[in-house]
Amino acid sequence: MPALHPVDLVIVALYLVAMIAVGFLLAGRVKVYQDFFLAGRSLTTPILICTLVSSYYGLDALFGDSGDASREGVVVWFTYGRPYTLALLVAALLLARRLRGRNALSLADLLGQHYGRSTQIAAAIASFFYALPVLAIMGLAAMAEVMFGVPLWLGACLGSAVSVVYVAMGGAWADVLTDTVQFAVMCVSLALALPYIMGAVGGFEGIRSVLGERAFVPLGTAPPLYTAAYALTALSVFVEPLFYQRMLAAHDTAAIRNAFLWGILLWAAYDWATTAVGMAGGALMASGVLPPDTPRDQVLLRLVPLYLPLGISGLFLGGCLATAMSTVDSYFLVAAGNLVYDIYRPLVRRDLDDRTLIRYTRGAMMLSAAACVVLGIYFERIKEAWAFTATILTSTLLVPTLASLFLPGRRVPLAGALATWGGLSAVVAVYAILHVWGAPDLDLETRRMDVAGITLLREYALFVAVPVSALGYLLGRVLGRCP
Amino acid sequence: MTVWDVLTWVAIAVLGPGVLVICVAVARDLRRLLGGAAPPAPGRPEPKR
Repeated sequence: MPALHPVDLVIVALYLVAMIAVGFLLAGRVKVYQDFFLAGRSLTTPILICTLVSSYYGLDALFGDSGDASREGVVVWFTYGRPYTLALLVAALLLARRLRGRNALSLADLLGQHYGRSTQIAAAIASFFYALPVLAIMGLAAMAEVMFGVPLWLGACLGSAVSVVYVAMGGAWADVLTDTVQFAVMCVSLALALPYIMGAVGGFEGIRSVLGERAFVPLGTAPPLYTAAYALTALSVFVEPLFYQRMLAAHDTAAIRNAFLWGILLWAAYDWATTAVGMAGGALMASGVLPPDTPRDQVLLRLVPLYLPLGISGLFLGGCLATAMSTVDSYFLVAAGNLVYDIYRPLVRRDLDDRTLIRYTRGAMMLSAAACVVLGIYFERIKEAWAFTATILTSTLLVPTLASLFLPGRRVPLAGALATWGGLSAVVAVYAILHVWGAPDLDLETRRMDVAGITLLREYALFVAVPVSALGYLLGRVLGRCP
Repeated sequence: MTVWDVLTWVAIAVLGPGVLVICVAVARDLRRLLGGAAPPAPGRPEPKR
């Protein structure tokens, strides 16, 4: 692995120092919890675009998608990515209006106001697990190992520590301000790297000559049910805690709608760029330029020192860091808010003042970082962890959230409680059963179990848990009483 | 030029110049918000500077 030039290292170091400086500069602005957590509910369309795009897309999108594209080709853009576009479009057009006038601080708080404390806590648990930036931390660890030769754990700790420091200091204001810089760096660096990497492999004709037509099948060659399970994780958009936190921080509903519509274009462009460079990496692996045993999640990183010129490679590394840190900081804020505002406050102390809430939320960010490391060790691949957290979130929150926003009629706390706890229990049960009695599926890189001639994959948990949640909701509506 | 090449050039245009235009708009809004001014009221034109 060629060493990085000192100029590249200086660019990366300057970037890190600038991020921390932002946190310190904004620390004095934070007076009340609404300022700390929602930036005073004043975000405009351009700010929302930057913070939504950069926070939602982390290293799972950059390394995970490019790694998957190196193996599976354009299916990553078409089948894994575009269901998200559809879901985001629906969210842009419908969700924003429904949130008008709500004074909640988070998705769990929103559900708590509708269904009561039990639902708020179940929602906060699911949201907390989803919001843990495991994928970004795993990506940061991979980066540290490949680019700097730093042990995995140390790279992950350093990267997340920097993110936690500036958000803990400046709260949501530091988050959105750094997101803007990170948004620019992550997008522009990818746009600059794309022509170099595509040129190295001879463009798409070069890729086709090495990988063949199989890489250009939009629906892919995996089992349809497996592909459908991944496509269905797009439903998580409707219960994405980060989106709700940002939507509740927006100045008005038009800003939310417009930001999502612009975001869809940017996300699609980013997806295509990662798919294209991933396919180039796959072709270079197949032709022997990269070692055949290169971990898929590291394919893109291995191309950087080989094909990007001095300066651009440093900017690209800064872009990778920006991609990870914009996700880590935003999700740590959401996860810490879940722990303190949505779980600790309703369960233990309802009368917490703003200063204590801010102090506890800062501390909860450290706890979230520790939980991240534990989950990161359990899952070996980025896509696996993504499927797990998205499945937990969707199974627990999809039914009660959509029902609270779109179904008119009575508020029945039991319906919310049964839907959330039922969905959450079902996912945990499926994963536990496959962990204990399932066997590894080396081809699809997951766990499987054959029952009466039917193959069950871990990714199918969604097919079980969402119906369980819906059943719980209906049962609660029938049996429950209005408060 | 194939459809894949067209997609790639569109992606470069969006992620490069497109992103820089958005960043200019953000810088304008952040300067106003961090300077203590309220954002423009919904549905009304922004004040001229």
